[in-house]
Amino acid sequence: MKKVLKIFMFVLIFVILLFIFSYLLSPKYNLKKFGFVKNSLYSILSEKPNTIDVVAVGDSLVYSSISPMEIYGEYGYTVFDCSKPAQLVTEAYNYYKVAVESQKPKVAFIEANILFRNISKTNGISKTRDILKSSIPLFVYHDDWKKIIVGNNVENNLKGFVYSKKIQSGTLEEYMIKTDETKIIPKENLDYLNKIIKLSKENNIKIIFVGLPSQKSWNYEKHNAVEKLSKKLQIEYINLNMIEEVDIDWQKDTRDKGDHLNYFGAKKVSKYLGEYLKKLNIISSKKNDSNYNDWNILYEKYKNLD
Amino acid sequence: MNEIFSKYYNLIFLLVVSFNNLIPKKIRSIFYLIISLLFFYIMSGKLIIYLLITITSIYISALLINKVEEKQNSSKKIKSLILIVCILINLAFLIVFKYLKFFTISTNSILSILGINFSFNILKFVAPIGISFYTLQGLSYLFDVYNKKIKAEKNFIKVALFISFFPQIMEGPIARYEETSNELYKNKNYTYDSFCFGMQRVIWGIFKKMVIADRLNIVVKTVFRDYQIFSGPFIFIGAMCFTIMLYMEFSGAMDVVIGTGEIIGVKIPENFRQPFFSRNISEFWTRWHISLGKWFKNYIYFPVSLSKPVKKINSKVKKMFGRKVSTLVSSGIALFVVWLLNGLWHGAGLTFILFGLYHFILIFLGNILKPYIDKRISKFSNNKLFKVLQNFKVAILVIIGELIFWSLNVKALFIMLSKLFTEFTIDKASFVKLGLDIPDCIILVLSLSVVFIVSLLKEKNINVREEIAKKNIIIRWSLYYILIFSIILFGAYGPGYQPVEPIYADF
Repeated sequence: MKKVLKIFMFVLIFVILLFIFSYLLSPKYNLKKFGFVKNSLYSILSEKPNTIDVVAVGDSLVYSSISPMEIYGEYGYTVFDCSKPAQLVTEAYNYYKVAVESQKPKVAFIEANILFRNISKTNGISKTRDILKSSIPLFVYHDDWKKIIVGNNVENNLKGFVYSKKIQSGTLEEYMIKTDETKIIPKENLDYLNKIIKLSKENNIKIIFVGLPSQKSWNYEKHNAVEKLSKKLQIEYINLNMIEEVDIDWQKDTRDKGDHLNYFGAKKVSKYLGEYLKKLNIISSKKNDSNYNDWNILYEKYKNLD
Repeated sequence: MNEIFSKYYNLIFLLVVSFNNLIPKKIRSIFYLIISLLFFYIMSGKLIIYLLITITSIYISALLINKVEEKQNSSKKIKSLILIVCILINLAFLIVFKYLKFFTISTNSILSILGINFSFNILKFVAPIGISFYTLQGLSYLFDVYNKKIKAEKNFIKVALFISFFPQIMEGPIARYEETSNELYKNKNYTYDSFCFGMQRVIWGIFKKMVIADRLNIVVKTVFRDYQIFSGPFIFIGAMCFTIMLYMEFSGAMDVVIGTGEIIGVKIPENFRQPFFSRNISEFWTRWHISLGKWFKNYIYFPVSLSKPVKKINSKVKKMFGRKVSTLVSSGIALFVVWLLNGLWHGAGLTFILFGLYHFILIFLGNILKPYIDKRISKFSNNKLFKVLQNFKVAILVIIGELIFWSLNVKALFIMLSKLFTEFTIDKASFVKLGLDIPDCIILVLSLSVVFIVSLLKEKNINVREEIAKKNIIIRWSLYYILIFSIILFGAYGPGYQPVEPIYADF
C-alpha cells in the first residue's frame, strides 16, 4: 500500500511539474483565451494578437513553399503558415478559425490541394501527434528555455515555415500536362470551404486560392477543378505550378524528388507571393514599426541561417 | 529509422512491462521470444526469415556437433564440416546483405584498372536489422559448443531467445551463451525495486542520447558533410564531437538495454567501462564495446595465433630471432586479422578497413615498444597528472581513429587529415557555421560534466545508483525529476534538431 501511495505521489508531482514548466514556457499572449491545448496545437497562438497580415492555410506544401521571413525581409508584410502535414479541409477550417480569432489578417491564401483530400480518411499519425501535443504542451515549447537566455530562437520561430536545404532532384520532366479532364472535389470538402469563405466575409478577409509547386501533388485535372470553382465563387486563383515567372528548377529546388520545395524553391515562391501582395495594395510594411522589432531581429537571424 | 526504433521499442517495452508478471513463469520465455520476434518483424518485416534460418541452422548444427562427439569413434572431420557449413550459411547472409555492394564496386574498379571491359551489376539489399550482432552472438554459441565449453541446448526456445532477445538485437551487447541463457530463463517477477532501479538506468541512457548525442549530431553532420569549408581546428572539433556522440549514443543505448533487462530481472553484460580513463589504446579496447572485443579475442585472435601456419611461422622466427620476436610476430599476425575483420564488421568500405588498420598499427606498435616505454615511465606511473596526460593521449588517438571511421570516403578523409595538420585558422564565422547556439553549448558543457562526474565515481568503484538509493526521499526524487525534466526540456528534439540514428544498429 505504501508503495502504491509512493508511485501515486511520484506521478502526481511529475504532472504538477509538467504543468508548471508548460506554463512557464508556453507563450502567454493567447493562453487565457485559448488554453493550453489549443496553444500547443496551433502555433499561430504564440504570436502577439493582431500582428499578422496574411495567413496561409494548407498542408505541407504551405510550410515547405512559403517562407514568411523571406516576405517580411523584402516587403515588410507579416505572414504566418497555418499548416500541418496532410491537413484536411476540416482541420484547415479549425486552424483558420483560431487564426482569425487571435489575429486580424487582411488576406488568406488557401492552398487548394487540400480540397482534394478526402476528409473521411482520418490521418492516424497526425492525430497521434496532435493528441501528444495537446496532452503535453511542453513537448511543443520545450526549446523555448533558450529564449530566457538569448531571446528568440530562430529555428523554432520561422512563423510556421520548415527550413530545409536538402536537395533531392525531381523525377518528372513535365507534370502539368494539359487536359480537359476535371478532378472531383468531394462535396463534404466544399461544405467546409463554404464555412471558410463565410468566416472570411465576416472578418473582411480577402481569400486567394493558390496552387503551390509540387510535381507529385499537382496536375492539370486538379487545376481545372480549382479554376472552375474559383470562377463560380468569384475568388482569385493563382497556380504557381503554371507560372513560368516563378522559375522553379526541379533539379535544385526540391527536397524530396519533386514533392516539396526546399529553402531555395521557397525563396522563389515567397518572392512571387510578396510581389503579388504588394500589387493588391491592402497591406502596409511593418519594417519601421517599433511594435514589430522582434520580426526585425528574427529576420536578421534568418539571414544568417545559411 | 531512429523514430521507428524508439517508437516501437517503447511499444515493446510497454508490452513487456505490463504483462511480464501476469504471464505464468512456465511460459514466460515463450512470451519473451514472441515479443522479440514481433519487434524484429516490425523493424525488418519479411527479412525475419533470415533470422529464423540463422537460429535454426545454429540450433541444429550445435545438436549435430554434440551428437558426433557422443559417438565413441567420433570424427573430428565431420564435426568441423558441420561447423563450417553452418558458418558459411550465416556468413553468406552477412556477405550478401552487407558486403556485396562493396565487393562488386571494388572488383569492377580493379577490372577497369586492368583494362578489362566488363563490370558486374551492383546489387544492394536492405539488411535485416542487427544482422551483424545476432550472427556473431549465434556463432559464439556454436563455437562454444564446438570447443566443448558448453553442451548443445536441446530446448529450441532457449537458443532462439538467446539469439533474438529484443533489447539486445539492435545494438548488442554480443553476449555469450553461458552469460545470459540462464538469466533469460530465470523468469523473475519484477518488483518495485527492480522496476525503479532498471528505469533509472533506462532514463539515464535516454538522457545521454537525447540531450548530448542528438545535440552534437548538428555539428557532426555539418563538419563531415562540408569538411571543405572548415580549417583544421574545426575538423578536430567535428571529429571530437563525433567521438562523444558515438559514445553517448552507443553507451546510452546500452543503458536502455541493460536497464530493460534489470527491470525484468535479466542481467545483461556491460559493454562499456569508462573507456576514456584508459592509459593506452589496448586498454581502451577492453573498455569500449567490450563484448565485440571479447568476441574477436575468443573466436579470432586465439584461433589464429594457435593455427598451424602461424605456429610454423612462430617456430621459424624463434630459431632466427629468439622468443621475444617470435611472440611479437605471431601476435602481430593474429592482431592484424582481428583488426581487419573488426574494420570490416563495422561496414563495407575502405574507411572502415583503414580504421581497423589504424588501430592495428597503434596496438602493434604499443606491443613492440612496451618494454622500453614501461622502463621509462615506471617512475611516473602513479603520478596523477601523468595519468591524465595518458588519458588525453588516448582520447586524441581515438578521435583521429573516429575521423577515419566516419569520413564520407577516402578522398574526404585525406583532405580532412591534411587540414588537421596544415590549416590552423580559427574564425568566428566557422563557429557559427557549426550550427550550435550558445544555450546549446551551455547545455552540452553541463550535461557532459554530469556524465564525467558519474564516470569518475564509477571508475572509483562507487555505484552511483546505490549511493542515491541511500539518500533520503527528497534528494532522491529531486535527482530523478531533474534527470527527467532535463530530457524533456533540454532534449534535442523538435524543429531545428535531427536525432542521431542508432549508429551501431546499421553495422
